[in-house]
Order: sequence, then structure tokens, then C-alpha cells
Amino acid sequence: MEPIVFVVDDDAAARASVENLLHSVGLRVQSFDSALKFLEHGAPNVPSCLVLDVRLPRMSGIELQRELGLRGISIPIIFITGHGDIPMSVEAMKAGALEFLVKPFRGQVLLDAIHKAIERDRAARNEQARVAELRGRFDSLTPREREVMNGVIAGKLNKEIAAELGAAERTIKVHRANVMRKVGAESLAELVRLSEKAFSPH
Amino acid sequence: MQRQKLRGYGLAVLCSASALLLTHSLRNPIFPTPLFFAAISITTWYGGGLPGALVVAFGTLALDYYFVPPIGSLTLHKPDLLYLLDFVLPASLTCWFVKKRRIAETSLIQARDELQSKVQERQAELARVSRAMTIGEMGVSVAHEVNQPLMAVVLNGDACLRWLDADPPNLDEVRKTVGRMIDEGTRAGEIVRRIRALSAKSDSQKAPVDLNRLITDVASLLDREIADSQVELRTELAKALPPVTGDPVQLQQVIFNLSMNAIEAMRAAGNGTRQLCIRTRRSDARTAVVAVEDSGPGIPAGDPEQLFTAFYTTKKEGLGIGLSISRTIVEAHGGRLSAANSGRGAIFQIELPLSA
Repeated sequence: MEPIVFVVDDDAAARASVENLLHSVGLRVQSFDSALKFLEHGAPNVPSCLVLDVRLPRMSGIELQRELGLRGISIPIIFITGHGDIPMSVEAMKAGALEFLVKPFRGQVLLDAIHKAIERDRAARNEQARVAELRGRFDSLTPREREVMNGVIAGKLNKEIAAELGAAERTIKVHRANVMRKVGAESLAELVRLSEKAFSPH
Repeated sequence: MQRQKLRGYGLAVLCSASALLLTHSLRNPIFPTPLFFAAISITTWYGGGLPGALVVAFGTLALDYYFVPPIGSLTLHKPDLLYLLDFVLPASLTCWFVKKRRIAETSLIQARDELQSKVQERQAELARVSRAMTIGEMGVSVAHEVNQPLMAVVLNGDACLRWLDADPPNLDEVRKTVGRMIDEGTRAGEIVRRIRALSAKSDSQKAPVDLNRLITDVASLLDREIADSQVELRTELAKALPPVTGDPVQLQQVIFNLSMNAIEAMRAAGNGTRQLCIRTRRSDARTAVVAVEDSGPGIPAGDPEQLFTAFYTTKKEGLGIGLSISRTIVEAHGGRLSAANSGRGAIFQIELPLSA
């Protein structure tokens, strides 16, 4: 999918110059003159990044960053500012900003930051898709299979699991084979790794 | 100096002659001396000590000649000497006291004049300092204002190189981009011109001032500050407002000052609507009014006049001289600067006489 760069700056000329630069390297751009308009528009499901002016009327860039965080919208942010305001840049970087560029900067610096941001977003999206797919595999397990899987992961023997669930050891063996097949794990170690990946917070 | 002395002696002669003539015309007055005392006082006050002493001498001779027997002769009998001394002593004392008093008065006047000119010097100095501070305060805003077009120029330049490097070069885009770069360079120049206009002249220059234009200029200098503080600026400018006479830079400084105060007050007050309204109107045939109104917390209860006292401040980093200087500037223009609470916040009004 073609990546897109969002630009939020209240100064029309600044917006136009960033747009022009990005067009010249063939990047897709969409710009907004206020943070609220960007929020209204929302971020699409393609690799993207946000070039954000720190000082904006009504909602500032920093406030927009916070608001995006609250709404669970993750998009790499490159801040641009007219001042080398250190406390503000520290705050922005702590909140996960990718770059903090002080105006005026060379086009290449911005382009490098944008490429880095888009790559990072693409990787994050791929990772997210992998996790979602993996979670789907675990979701396809029946309740019984899940019980068996929990026992296996806990390091119990088939016999122990059978005793715990009040079933024949042979039945457990079948369930265990189904779990491995559905999840796509070839060994116990891989099953453990995949389950961790699917259910860890990130 | 010589002329002044001569005038003193002339006065002495004139006063003595008048006193003598008037006293003589009374024919045998019971007290022949009072008019001479008057002559001594007047001469010493306006002419100085020596002319005063001369009147004492003339008076003594005149008394002896016209009023001390034998009348019509300067001959003096011993018992009558006391009579003359009775005049000479108080007359000399009068002369001496009046001279002292006169000296005291003169030095008081001198001291007052010196003080006045010193105060004027200080005020001018303070106005210069405050202007420098205003410019410093604006520096941050201005730096950002200039940075904005600069960034546009740099990025457009980079884009331009890329359009040229494309195969084939995209000359349409190059042309468009260069046009933008020129616009942005011009814009940066305009910002620099405005700030220079504010800082260049240090001496007051009187010229016809279009208040509306002045306010538009101030508003553009406030752009950043307003955006940063999330303030909404409204200007309501009277149509066909005649010019006032004054120093445009100083008047601009006053309006800038009042607006910055308003913005800072609203920012300090926290959330809520932040509206700044600058209005011009004509209050009568000879007066223009500029009103700066905010939607902040207003003026603290008490006397609004204390705001104008030097070194009174409600701001953490304020020196408390902005408003006192603003008032000095407005009064030097023959106008008035007053503060009050409106329904929404504080309102400052500048009244200025229109150019005749």
C-alpha cells in the first residue's frame, strides 16, 4: 500500500513548501491547517507518518500527540518547531516522537526522518498483522483444546492433564495434536513462544 | 547682566521718586516713611540688594530734606538724628530680609526647574528602556515569524533541486517553486521592516498617524503570541477615522503593551474563552478612542489607578513599568489612558485628540 505523509501546520506557506518537497520525491501528502481537522480526518490503515508543527492555534502539536495517544492511534510523529525549545522537545520525545526538527532545516533531513518514520510504521503494522493472525489461530481452538494447551504449556505430562480433566490419556493426545496443528507449532518450545507472542501486551 | 543691574538702579530711582512725590503730595503726613518701605521692598525684590540700599539712602536724604526740620535743608540737629535712625535701621533690615527671601525663592525655582528637566530625561530614558524590552518580548515572536518563511524558502529550494534533477526536469514545478520562494523572501523582508520600524528611531517624531493602520500592524506582530496562547483576536475599526498627531512608534508600543498585558492576563487565568478585542471609534468631533478589551479576570478590586503606578505589577516577571510608561506616552500626546472592568474582563481606553 502506498504510504502517506500527513502535515499539520497553520502556516499556509510552510505547508505548501513541505508538500512541494514531498511531491518532488513522489510521496503522497495530505495536509491540514489545524490539529482538530487532522483528528476529525483520522489516520488510515496504510503506512503513514505525521509532520506536526509544535505551535498551533487552539490545539497545539503536543496536545494533539497526547490526544492521539489517548485515542489509541499510533502514528510516528516528526515535530517541527521554530524554537529550539528544550523542555518541550524533551516532553515530545518522551511521549514517543520520532524526531524534533528546528526550523529552518534542510529538505534531506526531513525526508530522512519521514522515510525512517514510514519504515517504522510499516514494520509496526506488519508486526500487528502477524500478531492478529496468530491470535486468530489461537482463537480457533475449542475450549477443551485450550485447557489441554494450558496444561502442556505449564509443562505437565499427558497423564497428569488426563487426570486433571478426567479424560483418557489417548483423548488428550489427540487434543494435543490438534492444538499443534491449528497453531502451526512443530515443537513444544515453539508453541510456548507463539502463545507468548500472541498474548503479550505488545 | 549689565543691563539687569542698570534696570535695578533705574527701578531704585523710579521707586524712590514715586515714594517721595506721593509722600510729599500728602503735605505734612503724620508718618512719612511707609511709602519708602514699599519702595525698598519692591526695588530689592525685583532689582537686588544694592539698588535696595540705594533707595534706603535716597529715603534717608529725602526724609532729612523734606520732613525733618529745618524743612528744605539737609542740616541735621542732634536730637533729630534718632528720628532718622528710626527709619534707617528698619529700612536696612527690610532690605536685607527681602533680599534673603528673594535669593531663597530664586534657588527654589531653579531647583524645581532642574528637577523637572531631570524627570523628563528619566521618563525619556524609561520609555527607551521599555521600548527595548517590548522589542525583546517581541523578539521571540518575530524569530518565529521570520523562521516560517525561511523554512519555506529552504524546503522549496530543496524541492526545486529535485524537480531539476528529475528526468526530464520538471520545469513547470521549478517555475512555480521559485515563485513561491520569492513570495516567502518578500514576506520575511516585510517582517524585518516592521520590526525595524519599531526599533530604529529613538527620538520622538510627530506625524499624522492612522490609528487603524497602526492596529493592523500591531495585530500582525501579535499573530504568534495570539496563536500560542489560543486567543481569538477581533478588531473593530471605525471607518474613515481621521488621523491623530503623534509618534507612530510610541503609539504602536502602547497598543502592543496593552494587548500583551491582556493576552498574559487571560493566559494566567487558565481556561475559558480568550477573546481580545481592539476597537477604534470617534467619541466626539475632536477625539479618537482606541479600546483594548479582554475576556480575562479583569482588574483586581480596588483603585484601577494603582495599575498605572510605576513598579506596580501583577505579573511574575513584570517590572511594572509598562502601564506607567504607556500613560506617560499617551499624556505626552495630549490624551488620556484609563482602565476599567467591562462585563467580560478588563478594558483599557486610549483617548487621543484628532489632528486639527
